[in-house]
Amino acid sequence: MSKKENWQKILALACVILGILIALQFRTQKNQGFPLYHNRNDELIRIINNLEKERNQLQFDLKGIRERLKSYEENFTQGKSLTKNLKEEIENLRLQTGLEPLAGPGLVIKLSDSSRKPKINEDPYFFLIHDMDLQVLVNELLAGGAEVISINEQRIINRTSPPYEIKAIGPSTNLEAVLRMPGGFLDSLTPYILNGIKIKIFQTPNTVIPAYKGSLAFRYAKKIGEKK
Amino acid sequence: MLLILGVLAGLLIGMIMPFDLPLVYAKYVSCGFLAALDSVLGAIRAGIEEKFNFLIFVSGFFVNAILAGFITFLGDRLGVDLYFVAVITFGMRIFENLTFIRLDLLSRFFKKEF
Repeated sequence: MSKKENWQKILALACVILGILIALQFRTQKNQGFPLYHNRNDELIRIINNLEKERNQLQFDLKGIRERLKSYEENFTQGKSLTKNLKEEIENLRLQTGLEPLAGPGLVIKLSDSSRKPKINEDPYFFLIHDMDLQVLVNELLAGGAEVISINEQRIINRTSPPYEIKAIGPSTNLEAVLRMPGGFLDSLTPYILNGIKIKIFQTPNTVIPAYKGSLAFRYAKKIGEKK
Repeated sequence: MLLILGVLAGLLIGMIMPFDLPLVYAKYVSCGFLAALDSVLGAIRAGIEEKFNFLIFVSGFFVNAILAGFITFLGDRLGVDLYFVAVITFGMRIFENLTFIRLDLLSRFFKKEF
C-alpha cells in the first residue's frame, strides 16, 4: 500500500507541471485572439483628439482671418495705404510656400538600402528603398501633423538617391508614434528590415529645413481664361 | 485525489505566473502538454497494473516532451508540419490509456471483470 501512495505523490508532482502547461497554453491562446484590437482603440481616440484640436485651430484661424478682412476694409474706407498690411502678408506667404528655411521641433528619419547582397532565393525588391516607401512616409508624416518636410535637404522633391534622410517639422512624439503604430509605416517595411534595410528615427528639438530651391513657374498649368 | 489537487495547483501557478509565452512557442507548449498528459496517464495505468517504476516514468516524462519539441522544431525547419506526428501519437496513447483506466474503474465499481 505504501508503494501505491508513493507513485501517487510523484504523479501529483507531474500533474503540477501539467497544470502549468495547460494554464500557459490557455493564456497564450487567449492573447492570440486580436493582437491589433487593443491598440486600435487608443489609436482611434488619438485620431479623434487630433481632429478636435485641428478643428479648434481652424476656428481660431477663421476668426483671425475675419478680423484681418475687417481691418482691410476699414483701412480701405479710410483711404490709408495697404502696403504695411501687404508686406506682413508677403512675409507670411513666403514661409508657407517654402521659400524660407524653417526650424522647429521634429523628426529625422534615415533610410538606407540593405548592405547585404540578396541570395538567389531572395527578392532584391525587398533590399532597396523605393519611391513608394518615401511617398507613404511623407503622407504618414503629413497625416501626423508635420508642417514642413524635406528629403535629403530638399523640400519634398523627387529625384534623390539612398540613403534618404527625411526631415519634418511637427509634433515629434506624435509623428514618431504615427510611424510606429501597428499597421503603420514601420510595420509595412518589416520584410525590408528583415533583409537589412536600416531605419533610424531621431526626435530633434530643432529641425532645420532648407527653403525650396526649385522653380515656382508652372510649365503646363495655365490660368483658366488666359489664351496662349 | 492527490492527482487532481496537483493539476489544480499547477493551473493556479500557471495563471498567476507573471510572464506570457511568446506566440512562437505556443506549438511547443501544446506538444509538451500532450507528452506530459500521455506520461501521466501511462503512469496511472502502470500504477493500476502495479508495474509503476519511478525511473521509467521520469525518463519518459522528460524524454517524450523533449522529443516532441524536437520533432516540432524539425518540422518548422523543413516546412512539414511534423508536430502532427507527436499530436497523433500522444493522442492515440492518451485514448488507449484512458480506456484502460476507465475499464479498471468500472470493474472496481461494479466488482466484476470487463
